[in-house]
Amino acid sequence: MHFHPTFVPHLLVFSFILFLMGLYGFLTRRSALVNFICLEVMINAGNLALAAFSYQYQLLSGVLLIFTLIGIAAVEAVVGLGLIWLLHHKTRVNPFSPS
Amino acid sequence: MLQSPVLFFAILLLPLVGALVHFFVLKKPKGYSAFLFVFIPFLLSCPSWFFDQKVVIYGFSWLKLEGLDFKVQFLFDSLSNWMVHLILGIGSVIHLYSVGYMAKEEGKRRFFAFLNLFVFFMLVLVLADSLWLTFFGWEGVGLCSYFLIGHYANKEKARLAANKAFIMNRIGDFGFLMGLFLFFAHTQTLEYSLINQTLPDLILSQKAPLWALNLGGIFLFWACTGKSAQIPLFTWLPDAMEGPTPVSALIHAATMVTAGIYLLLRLSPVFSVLPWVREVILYTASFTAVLAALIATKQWDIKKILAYSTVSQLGFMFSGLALEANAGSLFHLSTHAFFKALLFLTAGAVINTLHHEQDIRKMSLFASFDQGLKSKMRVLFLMFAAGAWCLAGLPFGSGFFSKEQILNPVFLSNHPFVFFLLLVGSFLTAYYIYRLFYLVFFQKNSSPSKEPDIGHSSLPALPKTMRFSLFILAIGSFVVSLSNLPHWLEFITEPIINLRLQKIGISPSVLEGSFAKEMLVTSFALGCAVFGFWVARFSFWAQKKEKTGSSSSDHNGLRERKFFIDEIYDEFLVKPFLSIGQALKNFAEPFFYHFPLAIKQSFVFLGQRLGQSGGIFLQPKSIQTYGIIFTFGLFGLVLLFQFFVHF
Amino acid sequence: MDLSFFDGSLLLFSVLSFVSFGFTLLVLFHPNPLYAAFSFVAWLITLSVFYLQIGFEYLAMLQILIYAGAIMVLFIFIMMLLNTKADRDVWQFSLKNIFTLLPLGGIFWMVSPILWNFKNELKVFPDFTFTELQNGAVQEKIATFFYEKHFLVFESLGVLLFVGIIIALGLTSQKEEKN
Repeated sequence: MHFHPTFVPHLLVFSFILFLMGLYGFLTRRSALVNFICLEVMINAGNLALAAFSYQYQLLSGVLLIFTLIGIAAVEAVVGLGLIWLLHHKTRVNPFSPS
Repeated sequence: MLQSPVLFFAILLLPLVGALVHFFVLKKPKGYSAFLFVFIPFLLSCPSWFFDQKVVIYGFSWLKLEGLDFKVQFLFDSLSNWMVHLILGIGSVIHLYSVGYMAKEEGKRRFFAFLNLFVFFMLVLVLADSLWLTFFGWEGVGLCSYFLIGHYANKEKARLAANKAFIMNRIGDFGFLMGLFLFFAHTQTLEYSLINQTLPDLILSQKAPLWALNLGGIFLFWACTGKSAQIPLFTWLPDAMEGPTPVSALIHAATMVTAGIYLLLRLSPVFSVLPWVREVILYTASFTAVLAALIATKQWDIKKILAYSTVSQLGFMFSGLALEANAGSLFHLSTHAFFKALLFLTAGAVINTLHHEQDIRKMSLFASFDQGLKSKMRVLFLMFAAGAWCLAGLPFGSGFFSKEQILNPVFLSNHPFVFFLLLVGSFLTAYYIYRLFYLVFFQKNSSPSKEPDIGHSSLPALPKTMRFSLFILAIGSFVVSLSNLPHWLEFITEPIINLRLQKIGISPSVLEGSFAKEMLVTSFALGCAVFGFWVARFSFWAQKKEKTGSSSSDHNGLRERKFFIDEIYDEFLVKPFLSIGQALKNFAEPFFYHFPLAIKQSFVFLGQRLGQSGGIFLQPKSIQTYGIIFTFGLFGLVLLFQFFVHF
Repeated sequence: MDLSFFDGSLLLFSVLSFVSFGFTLLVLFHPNPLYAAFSFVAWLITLSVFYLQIGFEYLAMLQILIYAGAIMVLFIFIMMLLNTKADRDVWQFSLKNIFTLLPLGGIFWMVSPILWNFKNELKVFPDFTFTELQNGAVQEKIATFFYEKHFLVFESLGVLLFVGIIIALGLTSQKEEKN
């Protein structure tokens, strides 16, 4: 059941599809929070591509970078959500709604 | 002694340190500190008078290219030794004088700073071992003279004069560089020792084209006309008298203007094989000598007379150089430095004492009715008399000895016209200086006695520093004649300059004649000088008897109007140049100014119009819209990527 | 490396990819933000299964623990705090959406051949072998790599998280203004 190295291009293309879908959602959604979730989709699609490369070249630096990115995404989520909460609380404004 | 680089760099760098100290540290200097920064190097350089050796001191490598190495290297041989003593000695005396002179003036800090900086650059000039380092000092003294001439910056005349001096110097610098390039092209080096060895060989063996080296020599002489005020670039020197008098004394009598002479002395092995260039120098210099002297005979400003006198005497020096009378030129340079500085400083003292009156026709207003100013200003009278005696070449003054050592080779060479010109120059020298002397010191107060106060009131006393400096210079003017005595006086002491020049391979004098011919020349020169003295005296007494004052002279005569040279330059050089500039500006302005302005205006207009109507599609209203446009851009990039990169 | 070609890995990969694609669509288009968040959690779980399939079990566990367990829970808390309404974000057909699709589609069309033709040409010293992947012995190597050789990354991540906490505290502890 383990992954075969010949299928690495499949994985890469798939991660690219996911990334582009996340980008589409980011550009289209009008709710701030769901926008943020699409951002996370993009980051994780990138993680998937990194995992594919790491598998292909049999190097662990990719895995290291994935760990790092997970941590960074966590911090970014915290800070971004704080900002969204602040915006909402102070001004009741959704930065992405049509106005 | 001087092999120690520390001592050498102390001598060289102390004036620079002095300048920096004055710029950044001192707030209200009295000038004694500036004096010390020049006097201490002078004391440090005194031992080298006795230990006369050739020393090459290596500083650092300024520029290293393949095959070329421009080294900052200093040469301390007999010639630079002599010049250093002259610069530092007369420099320190003048610094001391300016303590007293500038006591009541403003801007002392920058004055003393630039004075020190000037001494530093002059030292670099004479101590440099290569042409380019000399050029560095050359430009530096030009820069400092610009600042010092324009010291009274609130006077427009001073600013204009500073500009004129600097620009004319710069025109000369162009010649320096061209000459430098031409020499470099044939020798691949700029060091004096190597140039002086290889260039004459190249010329004599005809490996180098003579026309190129003649051109190089002419260019270097062009630089000398700019710096040492010969025809055609001499008109800046009289205007430079707008600066304070110590500046005129130091820069325009003793040091900067002698830079040209120094350059030609350094390269005399090269010039000795370029006879055509020397002919040009000879005729130019002798014409300058006579022209400047003629102008000086009809000037009424005391400092301008002395300025033209400097130009004239420099003409003498260059004539000597042109005939390879190197010792004579150097000797005349040294004696001139002393007595011209003396004359300038005395004139400055006179001007100061007489409440800044510079017109010699009006100076008699300060005198008494029965005697001239000589009774009121005894010290200055004596000092000026000493200086005038030396300048005119009257017996046993220093000018007598030095001028004869220039006139002798002129007589021995086959240039009768030049000899005649220089004799006329000697005559005129004596005439103008004694005219000045009599008009200033002997003219009685002839004004109607409406203002007796000016005539009978006592004049301010001379500050001690000024008096002391004048004494030193007066004594020096006579003592310096001991440095190169003629043959018949060699029992007193040997000719020092001759020996020192011989030591470094510069022939002191090529043309040697018999004792009888020398005596003939001496008698001619003496005769002209005495004749000039008597003509001046006679015309002064004759004019006095007429009691007509100054209205009888022709105010618009050729000599008085400086032969209209300034006006000619203005009409034929300056105005066309400025109009070319104006024409270029008119031609280029539409393209460089109006056209870009129109483009900018169109953008501004477009932006305004779009902003007014909403301009929806050009201004993203939210981040997402911006992001969409961003992805379009990304798409475009990828498209480009596809076309140019293939996998 | 003697893995058989038809051992179901491709099947698993395909099924997983379709499922994950479906969850992505839900995330993108569901009007209720809460449902979008939950489908994102499910998406993260499918991603972990991807990592499991590759052989990075440690990474998969970390992903679920940190991402799904902490970050998404934070998201859901914020949604509860902000009282996001269900019918907030109904997908509307507008020009904007088509405009967005065009460049994205174009980019995809042009870049995917490059990715499809990806070949392994680099011969480097591998950090692990495929047998180790299968055995699970690579986890120890991952741990050593991250916690011993590149410890600084680990520590700096900790510092970064700490900074994030401070920022969050600073942002949110504003004094309430009485309007």
